[in-house]
Amino acid sequence: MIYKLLPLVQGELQILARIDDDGKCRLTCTEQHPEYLAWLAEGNTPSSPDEAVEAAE
Amino acid sequence: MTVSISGTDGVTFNDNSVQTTAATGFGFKNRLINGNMALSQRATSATVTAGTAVPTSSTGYPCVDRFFVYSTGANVTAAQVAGAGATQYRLQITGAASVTAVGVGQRIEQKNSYDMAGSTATLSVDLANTLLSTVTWTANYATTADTFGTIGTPTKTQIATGTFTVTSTVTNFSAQISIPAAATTGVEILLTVGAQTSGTFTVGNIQLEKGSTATSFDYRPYGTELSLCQRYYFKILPASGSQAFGVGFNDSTTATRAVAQFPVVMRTSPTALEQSGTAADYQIRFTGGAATTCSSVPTFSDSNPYTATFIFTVASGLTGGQASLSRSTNSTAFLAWSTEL
Repeated sequence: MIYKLLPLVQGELQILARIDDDGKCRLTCTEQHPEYLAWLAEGNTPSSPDEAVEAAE
Repeated sequence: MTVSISGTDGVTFNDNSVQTTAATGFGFKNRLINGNMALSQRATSATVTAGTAVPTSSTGYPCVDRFFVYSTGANVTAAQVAGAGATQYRLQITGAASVTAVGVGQRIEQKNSYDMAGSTATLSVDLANTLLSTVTWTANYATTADTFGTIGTPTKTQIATGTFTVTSTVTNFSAQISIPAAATTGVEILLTVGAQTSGTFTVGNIQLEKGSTATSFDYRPYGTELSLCQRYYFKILPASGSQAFGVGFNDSTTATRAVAQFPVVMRTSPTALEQSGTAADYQIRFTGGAATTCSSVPTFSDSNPYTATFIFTVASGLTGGQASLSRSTNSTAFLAWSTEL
């Protein structure tokens, strides 16, 4: 499981996409999301922005 | 009017009705929400992935509302199962080889437990286990308001602990807990068992009430209990395709921004949006009866305890500024927000 930064829209919150081990994104969140903060605290770093959240079909 | 008071029979009124318990016998005495396991917005059955980095607001709550479940050693299954008699449902954990521990618990937020500090409370619960004979109960309070940490990295202080000796027959147990004056930050009730390598661990009708006497279970109306649960988790789950999540406007030719209003005020502002993980489960309906299936999954935009804004995205074809409807294409689609502790 990793987090990816979504493209930042001016004036909006930075949103992240959680990409699960099967490649699917089932959750998007802010930088204040507790689960994301815990993941960061483990020494992880989010991936760079993609053009869009890709959904594995 | 004649009222007779007996130390043995209780209070008998002139219509011959009898009150056998103390004032705490009246409704809303149970500080635990969904104690009868009747609500299961997330799922009626789910796999619990082994690990102790739970619970968080979006992980560790697999099945019945408000109850987190964890296991160590191996995955287990948590399910809302049929009860018996007046008890419609229970929560049941099915063990598996290599499991070393299983826990079930609920965290009561500060606002709903502050007054219990410095008093005696009573925990009562229906329990059964087809493999193990000992269930350990533990009461904790949060180090800071509503912040308990995870099982692996706790930020809580133990209030009391004890054990119940259980069998494969569902039996009611109770224990008195002296809650310290410092416990003004939220209370956690946790039930744990050891190596549940097979068999089932069943929990039902769990209640935490003020006072030193276990009284009858506090059955609340389903709608009331649902509203209590929705303060912590709200899921829009269409019964079929083409059902609305929210109304909004097209922000561009590829994205629409819509809003959903929560049915009850949530505990805090949600910080995440959960969805099915499949873009094709969602679509945007716009002018002229046209609808376009999404090219990406819905994403979180913003929230407060009253409403949430989300974004649906398509490859092309929207007209900026037009109104639109964000909706499902099938019954697999859902949107959910959590503010669990």
